[in-house]
Amino acid sequence: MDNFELEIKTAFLEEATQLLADAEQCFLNLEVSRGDPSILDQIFRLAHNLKGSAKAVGFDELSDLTHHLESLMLEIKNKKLLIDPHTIDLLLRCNDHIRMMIAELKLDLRAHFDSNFLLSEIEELMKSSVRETPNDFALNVNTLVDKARVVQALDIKNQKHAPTTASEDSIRVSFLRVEKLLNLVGEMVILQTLLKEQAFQEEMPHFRRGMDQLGKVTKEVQNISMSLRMIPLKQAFLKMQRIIRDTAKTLEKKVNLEMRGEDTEVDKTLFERLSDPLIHLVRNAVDHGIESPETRIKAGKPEMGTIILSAAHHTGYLHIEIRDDGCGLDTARLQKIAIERGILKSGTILNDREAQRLIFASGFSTKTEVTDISGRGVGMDVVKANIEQLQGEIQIESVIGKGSCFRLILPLTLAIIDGLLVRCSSQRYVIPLTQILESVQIGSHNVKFATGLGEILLLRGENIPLYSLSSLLQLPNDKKIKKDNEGVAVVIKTQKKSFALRVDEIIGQQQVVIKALGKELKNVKGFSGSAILGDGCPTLILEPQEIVQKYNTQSIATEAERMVS
Amino acid sequence: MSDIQNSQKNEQTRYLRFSLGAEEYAIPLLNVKEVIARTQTTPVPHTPSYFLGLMNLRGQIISVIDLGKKLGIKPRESFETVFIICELGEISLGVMVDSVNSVLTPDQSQISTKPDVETGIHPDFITGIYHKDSKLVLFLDVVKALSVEDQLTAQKAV
Repeated sequence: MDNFELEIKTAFLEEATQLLADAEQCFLNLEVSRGDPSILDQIFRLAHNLKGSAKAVGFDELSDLTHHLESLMLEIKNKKLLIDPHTIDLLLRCNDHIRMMIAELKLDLRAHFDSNFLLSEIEELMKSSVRETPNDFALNVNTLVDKARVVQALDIKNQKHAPTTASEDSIRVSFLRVEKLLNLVGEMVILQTLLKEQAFQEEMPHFRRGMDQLGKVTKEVQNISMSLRMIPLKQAFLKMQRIIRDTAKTLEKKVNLEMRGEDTEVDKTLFERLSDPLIHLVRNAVDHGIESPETRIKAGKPEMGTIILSAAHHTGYLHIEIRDDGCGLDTARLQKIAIERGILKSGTILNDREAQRLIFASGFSTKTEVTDISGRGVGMDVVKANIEQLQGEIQIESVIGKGSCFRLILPLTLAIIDGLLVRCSSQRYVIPLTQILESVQIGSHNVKFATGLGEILLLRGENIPLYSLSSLLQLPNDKKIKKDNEGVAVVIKTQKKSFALRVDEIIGQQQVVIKALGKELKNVKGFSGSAILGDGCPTLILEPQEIVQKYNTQSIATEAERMVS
Repeated sequence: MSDIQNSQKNEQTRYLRFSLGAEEYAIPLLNVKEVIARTQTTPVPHTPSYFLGLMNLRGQIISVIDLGKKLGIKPRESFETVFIICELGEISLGVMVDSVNSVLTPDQSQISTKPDVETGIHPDFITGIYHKDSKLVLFLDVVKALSVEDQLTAQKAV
């Protein structure tokens, strides 16, 4: 395969992914709108585009399937076929299959697929439609006429297509290029700061005024380039629509989804990692939240349950809410189950808020039976961990019988973190502020040494293990540092036991832009990335728990002993 | 396919010639993104000794390798060290060498294959030898010579 072929194939796969996302949305809308002709037109166009491009770049199996799909769409368009849930289901399954094909092709351009089961289903469906129309000839004419119209439509597709996919003119840019731009902008800011300091020492008014202007422009450029990483949540929300539909169908519930603030923008990296927790919460809302239609009617609620997905920015944070009008969390029942499962000691009295948070305990499940959808008791603890990994938190509001609301509060970007800049030997490191509980000056009164245990930090009656960062990282010993009574202990927040790291000095608190380490360093543990400090020097961002787990082994201790003796 | 076969197809392959200690080496110019004067690097703990550290190349963080140390070449007393920034597929790497000398456009006939030497070191990374003014210039396969991922993986396994 030559380069050109490779390039067009890759480009096609990118395009196809977008087309499929659009198509899925259309199918779902089709079900709600019961065959709005404009949506049908759009799907038809999408299928046609996909078929044409697939054929052009030589993915014949793909073009074959889309060809059949196109014919099926034509039948629907000509009202030869009713839009019933069965048809929509088949369409969605075809969409899934094509998506799978695209995903496979991305990995291996020579992949082959078996689509016969879908093809035969499509054929069957088409046959049934033919039987319904007694006049075969009429059908053909209709088809011909419509083809002509379609060709016409395709001719003007360039003008027509644009407004349906994006409301603004846009271009597709690779994330790598955006990253490069951000790197350079970061560097520009550093240089600009350096120059600005110079400008204050110079007696040149024009230079100083110029520098002031440059400062403003730089700030603007920085803001704009940061915003390039942001993408609207819409795509994630649309995915939820599909999941709600499928889950509700399996459980024979009726659920309506409302979306609010889907244009809210989030950082791309955050966006990618939000998807799993969101899926889980939405599934739970359908499974545990919304009641069956009968129960709802008995309770005097409308038969159709409602789930509201909303997103908004609040004071530097992103809030995402998953709200349902279902049965709410039964705190008494939660406590009972927690006691049965040994998560809670019997006799413990919790307030409603604490009881609601029981669902985050690992191994907790209110379901007695394991289903496809939920009940295995793994889940909410994972969701919570995922969200915490993103430096966010989950809040629950729930009123029994009225419904629940899960609110995710997340930082707007993962690209910038607040960090504590520390010095250890001659090196500087950044510790993420979210992982730090507090820091204390070390003295002989609060640090004791015990052979076999190592150094212990006494903090308000607690005994916290104290590890020396410089020996964990095997930094060359700084001779000036006296043994016990100097340095600062940084207490690290963990899920289990807390511990402290001994550093030489705290330089200050600082916001840093996280930069990933190169692939050549992927096996070096203990660092979550690097950052460039104000003076242009690179520094490492520490992952304290990993460092202690990885490097605080017996072997290192003995090695240190050998070195001392 | 080795670099020699590659360059036979394209006779105009150009190489960047540089010094390490008293020896001279060359790497394909296509791998070279730029050459800069030595700048400050930040060491990364728990990496091999030839891993010099991280540098800031206009906002991009790049790992720098001390090639002399990696190949076990005796260092020469010199203050003039430079970083050659190499692009190896997805990875950008800085390579510290003593000095950069010139760009070579050797004629294929001037390149001889390496002699079979029985040594403990595996000289896989040497792809050919070129004689220039009674000096030897060894052509390096950069990816093999640095074998960065292998080395760091091995480090982890220890």
